[in-house]
Amino acid sequence: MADRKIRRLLAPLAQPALAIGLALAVGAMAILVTGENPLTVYAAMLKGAFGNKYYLLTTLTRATPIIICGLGAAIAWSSNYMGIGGEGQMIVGGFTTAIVAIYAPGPPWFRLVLAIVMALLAGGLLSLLSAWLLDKFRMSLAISTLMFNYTAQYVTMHFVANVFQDTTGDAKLTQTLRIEEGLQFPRLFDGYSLHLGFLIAVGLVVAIWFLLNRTTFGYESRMSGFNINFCDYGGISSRKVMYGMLLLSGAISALAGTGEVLGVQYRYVHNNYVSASYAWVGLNAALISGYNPIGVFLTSIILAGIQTGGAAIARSTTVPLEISSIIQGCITLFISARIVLGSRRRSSVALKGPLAAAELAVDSADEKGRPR
Amino acid sequence: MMPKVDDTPMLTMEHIVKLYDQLVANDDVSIALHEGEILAVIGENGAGKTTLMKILYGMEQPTSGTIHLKGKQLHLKNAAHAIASGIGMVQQHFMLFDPFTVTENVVYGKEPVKGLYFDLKKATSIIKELSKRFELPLDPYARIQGMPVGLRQRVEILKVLYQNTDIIIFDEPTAVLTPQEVHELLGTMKRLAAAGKSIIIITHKLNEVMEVADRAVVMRAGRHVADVNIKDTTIEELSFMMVGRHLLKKEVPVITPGDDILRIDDLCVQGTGAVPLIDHLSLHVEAGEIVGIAGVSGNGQSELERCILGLQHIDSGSITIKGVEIGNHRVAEVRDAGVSMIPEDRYLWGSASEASIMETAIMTHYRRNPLSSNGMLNMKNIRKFTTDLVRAFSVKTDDIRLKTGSLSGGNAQKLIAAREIAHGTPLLVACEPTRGVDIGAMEYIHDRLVEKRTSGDAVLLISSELSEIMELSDRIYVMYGGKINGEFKRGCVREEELGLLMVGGANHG
Repeated sequence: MADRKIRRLLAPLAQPALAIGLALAVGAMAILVTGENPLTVYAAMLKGAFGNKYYLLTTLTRATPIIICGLGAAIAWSSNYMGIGGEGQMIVGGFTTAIVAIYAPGPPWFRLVLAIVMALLAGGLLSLLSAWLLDKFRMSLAISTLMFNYTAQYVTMHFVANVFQDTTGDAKLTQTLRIEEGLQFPRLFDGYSLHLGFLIAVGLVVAIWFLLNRTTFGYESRMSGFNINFCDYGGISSRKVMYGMLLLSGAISALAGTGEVLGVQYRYVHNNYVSASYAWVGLNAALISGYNPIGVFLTSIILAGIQTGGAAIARSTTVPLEISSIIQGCITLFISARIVLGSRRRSSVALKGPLAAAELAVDSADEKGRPR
Repeated sequence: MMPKVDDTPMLTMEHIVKLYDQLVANDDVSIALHEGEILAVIGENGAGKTTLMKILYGMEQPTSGTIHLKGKQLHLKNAAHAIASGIGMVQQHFMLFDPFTVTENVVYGKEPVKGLYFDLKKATSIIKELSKRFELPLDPYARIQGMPVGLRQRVEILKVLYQNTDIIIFDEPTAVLTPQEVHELLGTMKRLAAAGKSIIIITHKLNEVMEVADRAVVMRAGRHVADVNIKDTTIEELSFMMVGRHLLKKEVPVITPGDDILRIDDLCVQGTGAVPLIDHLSLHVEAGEIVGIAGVSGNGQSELERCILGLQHIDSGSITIKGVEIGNHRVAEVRDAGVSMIPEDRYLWGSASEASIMETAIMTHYRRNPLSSNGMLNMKNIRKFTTDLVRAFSVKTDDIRLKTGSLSGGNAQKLIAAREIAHGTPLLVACEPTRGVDIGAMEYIHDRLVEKRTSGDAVLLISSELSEIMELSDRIYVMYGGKINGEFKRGCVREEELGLLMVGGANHG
């Protein structure tokens, strides 16, 4: 009996572990091609990611925005609304935080609170706009959110480059002024980069687990992810779930930007989140973990570790930095193979609800249908 | 008829065992099929008969055991392999291309060709010949679209005949047919057997077994418990072997109906087609009454069901519950006004396979105290609520935290019925409440419906299963083409009469 219980608890971990294992195997082949020994490279990678306090805390710092974006994606995807606008929401979040923190009047604590609240609002509203387009015009959520990523990136670039640019230095980078020290997130350890944002991420993991598993709204949204017809029949308003979850998802993703601005760069720097692709890695983490908040947390740390570890081996061996991209890409590939296999096994009798029908075919995570 | 002079069976399946993880679907099952024989494989849902047939049709591989056809051992890899070996199957769910003609559907996958081109002329003549030889009248040029179910099944049978297999498996073939169509189908089977085909029919309808089969293999809980000649047995004996106990004849206590609970006046739903989905329909259900709606699926029953619950927009007319208008109201409002519903499709509407049994069980209930308060779920009460439901309706499961998809069809249906009856609403709409469930579960759900009605609530029973309608209903409406095509009191109509009205016949009653 106890054995079965353990098996049930471990079952959801089996496939992510398999995907990561396979991805490492493919990565090993790539390493062999470069003429290095995969085992030593992986050992160096592990050490570079988690080997000592400095590496570990660097990895956790990098994981912080990934966790938060992952949570934002997980709640939307788990309720069947597969938006991919995390990046745009993170950008407006970071931008709003910086602008409010720098230019709003009032005492520092007030500006800090206002900056965070406005960032949440900005991300939430951007996401809500996509929800509204889906609701009113049946516009594919995947397309509208993807497009808003670009909108967010270039509209903020305009403002940063032409209105709020930091002209104090010589370099004329596309970035805002530096935020004064009183508003910056404190660091958790002296001399290390890990900041308060990480604790916020941990808090969010708990809060979202609670929301999904212990509240009526969480129940409604989870059921909406499983079978939207079942919800309609049971009297759940799918509108309420859609608007609610997308608003929340946007606000959470915005918080990832807030964390970067207040905890790492202390200013908004154009293109920063795009080049690090935090939001996409976060979405990966959400997919790999099957939208489980605790899973998102652990997976995000692993993915961040692959990146920091990859950077470490690029420094110490002839293996290029891109090796971590290969491994990450393979993980995504193998995980999506799992999802497709999973949905193929169920027969396709599942009728999609009116809202879901308007979705693009990104629904690799189609969770509805009959078990057969 | 049986046993044949030549006693060597043409097909044997010996000591078949099939395991899915720890679940034993088939436990040492052996069957034999002779040439020209009709063998019925009977058993409740979950007894393992479908698994056995999937193994025979190559869709599943046995964990152990052997299959011999005409003395040669077979290792079937897939359905195509089975067909090539001479084993065909008429599927329960038809797989036809609607916009294509009969001929095109039948020859699909094995088209006669002339050079590089599809030889339509030759195909058509083959179909004509087949349909004449086996007395299956069909227009080879007719399109599938708009064909009644009975004709579609005929196309499916032709498909198998075209594959020219010696063995034909029928998987629950009569589930969707009207009484007349069932009669024709049974005749067809006898003709096929007389022409030398060997037939296996999977079913749990015992009167059909008695009428058509030579021999029956009874399965229960994965084992094969009996192998009997039909002429040596009775329907009671078969049902006893199938269920493992005797079924009692249902007694429906007489009570006097009270006030109107549900009243539908002049309901119209146009839909997108030229013909309205629901056409000036009026009916009423009184307290203490089970009202049956008989009809062939697809005659507006699904739309009616959805109109009542608020899932379908109505164009005109009114629907009231105890005098309160609910037409075009939101589902939550309709449910609050006093409607619960066992939906016609338990997987599409009634549950979420990926959700836990607990989560499926609390749908709609979860909004109220004590399952939740201030938006917070009360897990302790939810567990207790689900455990009570599962126990009261004897839903078979190890753990209420398992996925709903892990339940067998009958148990999933019992869970849904339990959930909806637990609402205690004045009206319960039961749509195909026992479709595809075993006799035990069917009996159980029927009893609960009668219990609800006897306690003074109203039940609207929508079913394409005539025997169910006849047995339970105090009053019967027949629905055809979105209209009511006849209304009868209990005991005032014969099954044949209803069958005729269900396919659009005029009411002479």
